[in-house]
Amino acid sequence: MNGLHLLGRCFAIGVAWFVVGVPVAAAQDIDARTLGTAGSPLGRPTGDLRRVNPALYAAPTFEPPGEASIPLPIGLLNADFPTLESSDDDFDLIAIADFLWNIPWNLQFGAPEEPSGDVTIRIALDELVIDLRDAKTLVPTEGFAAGGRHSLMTVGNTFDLGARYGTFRLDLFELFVIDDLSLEIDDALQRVLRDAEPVVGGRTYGLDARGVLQTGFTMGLAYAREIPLGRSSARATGDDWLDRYWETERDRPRLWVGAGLRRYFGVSAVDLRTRVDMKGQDPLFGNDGSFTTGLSADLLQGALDGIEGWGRAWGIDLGTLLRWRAWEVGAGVADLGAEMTWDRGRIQRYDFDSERDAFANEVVAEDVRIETPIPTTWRIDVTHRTGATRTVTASIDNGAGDTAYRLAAEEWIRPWFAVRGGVVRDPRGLFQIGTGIGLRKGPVGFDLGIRTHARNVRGNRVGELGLSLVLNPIPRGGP
Amino acid sequence: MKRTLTSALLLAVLAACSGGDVTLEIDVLSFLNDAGAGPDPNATYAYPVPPTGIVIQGIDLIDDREFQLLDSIDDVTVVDEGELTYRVEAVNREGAGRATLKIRLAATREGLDDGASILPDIDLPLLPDSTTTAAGTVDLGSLVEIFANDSAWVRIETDLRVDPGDVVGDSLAGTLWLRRLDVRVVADEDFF
Repeated sequence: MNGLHLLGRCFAIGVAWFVVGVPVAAAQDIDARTLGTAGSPLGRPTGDLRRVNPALYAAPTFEPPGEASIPLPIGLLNADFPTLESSDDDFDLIAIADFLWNIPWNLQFGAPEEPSGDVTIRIALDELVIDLRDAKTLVPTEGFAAGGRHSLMTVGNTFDLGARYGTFRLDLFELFVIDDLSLEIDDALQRVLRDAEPVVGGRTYGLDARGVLQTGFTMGLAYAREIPLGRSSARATGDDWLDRYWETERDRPRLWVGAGLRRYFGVSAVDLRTRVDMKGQDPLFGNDGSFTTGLSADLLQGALDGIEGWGRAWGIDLGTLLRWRAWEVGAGVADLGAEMTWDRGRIQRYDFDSERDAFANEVVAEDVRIETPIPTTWRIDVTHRTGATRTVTASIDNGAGDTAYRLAAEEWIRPWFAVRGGVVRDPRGLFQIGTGIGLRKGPVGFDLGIRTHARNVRGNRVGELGLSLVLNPIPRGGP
Repeated sequence: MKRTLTSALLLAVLAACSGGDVTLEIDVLSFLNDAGAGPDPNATYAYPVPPTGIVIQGIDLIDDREFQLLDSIDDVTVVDEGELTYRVEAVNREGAGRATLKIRLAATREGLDDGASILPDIDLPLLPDSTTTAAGTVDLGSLVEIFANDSAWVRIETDLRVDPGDVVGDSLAGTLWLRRLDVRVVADEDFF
């Protein structure tokens, strides 16, 4: 394999990576209850939600304590695993990308369309036409961004010191991976790839790509407490003063606020910024053809050197939660203003020399300060609860490069039986729906969820079914 | 060689986007007028006036010419099949006869002299004061392998013959036009 072939492979894998991405807001749900609400947690304060809105550490949860849900990998039993053997006739990069994007933990139905995969290139002395056919839908029209912050392991504890002193959350160690990918394609190149418009002389076709991957760990401390908003106006007169007191107390708005400070310790980071330009004058090809491709890339690297060279950053999490009667409004932001700084960074530049048909690379700087971004995420949600039996919630989640809009509801029509459903506008702009049931009777309970999604390269809407086992099931809203 | 990166990136994108076939369509005719080396790319030959009954063989319509393919395509593809589509037009002014075209394709210039480089003959009738056309598609057969290279060579010859039975002293005069010469190659992605 020559160097250019290797470069081409790397580029192809990069393309696939960009195409697939790991959009946070479109993350796969393995819990059947969440599956049934199309990804909405229905106000349940999960770990990720508490990081985005630390006020949730102090606000009492509506979930009964002690229930444990175990998602069952029913989809893995009959999953088709794509071949990784490149010499195999069935080897298909898109199938691999689809698999990685949508690990078939849940039972899948309605497989995405088989990509036709056929493309046509027309070459003439002064013309180049690329007809990607079906694959042209893979070319993003408005740039492409994906990625997120993934918490792999957390060691910490929550200390509830009561209403007077609030709640502390101490994270001693959190292992993280951050990937942040973006791709911008010039209008002219988009027309070439999406509309099969001919490449002509005298015009430049280009794209900018950036990929950041960084790992490390964090330590963090969050604090949350309730902010008193007035007091009950009921006075201790009359026989029913206690009933009136609780009635007034129930109608009193309650506000929680939370803030967290997180220290990032970066272990390694790679930040590759690439610009590709294609241009030429007529004739483009032939012996006097001038069509050339320029590629320039800056590779920024931050890594430990012994015990020195840690990446470091401060991240601030802020959140608030307001409950009034049956309503709840929450808003939070995580990693506000965070940017990793590496004091012993290295910058290497790669330029393709079209005359020599080879890459030139040089170390531009060594032991210099470089900075890599940590994506800020935010969330806004509104929830309405009717007793302990009905929950309706709407939310907006913004992650690295994408935003998801959700609406979901759950109704316990019997204390032991729930129906639920939801709809989400995914980062592709497609509406996906989910529905499911929950059973809390006997020694174990079950959640069953079914939803649509488009976690495949083609963006086809397909379905999945998930099942979770619930240990220590607790009926809702009554005996 | 300076376009190798273009090919590498282009084919990499195609390989990433596609698990199927890559079809290359090459407008060979456009390359034959490269840098003004040839005549009008369509007007290929104004033929002479052969005496009656005499066959003139091996007239070069297109002498040995190289045309461009995608650099390094052999790194990333396995060429499966291919065909050549042609259209030849004769604007004949005098006499009647026949033109027989022989298209040769080879990976190298020397290869053009190999008998295996010849595609099936193309016959074109020549009629008095008439325009006649021959068009079609021929399978490249084993010649398709030459397209797994950065470039290929082409030579097109023609034989001209006046029909027997014409009046002695009759002759042919006119112009042969090569209107279309496209190669279509289907290559299987062999990138990974």
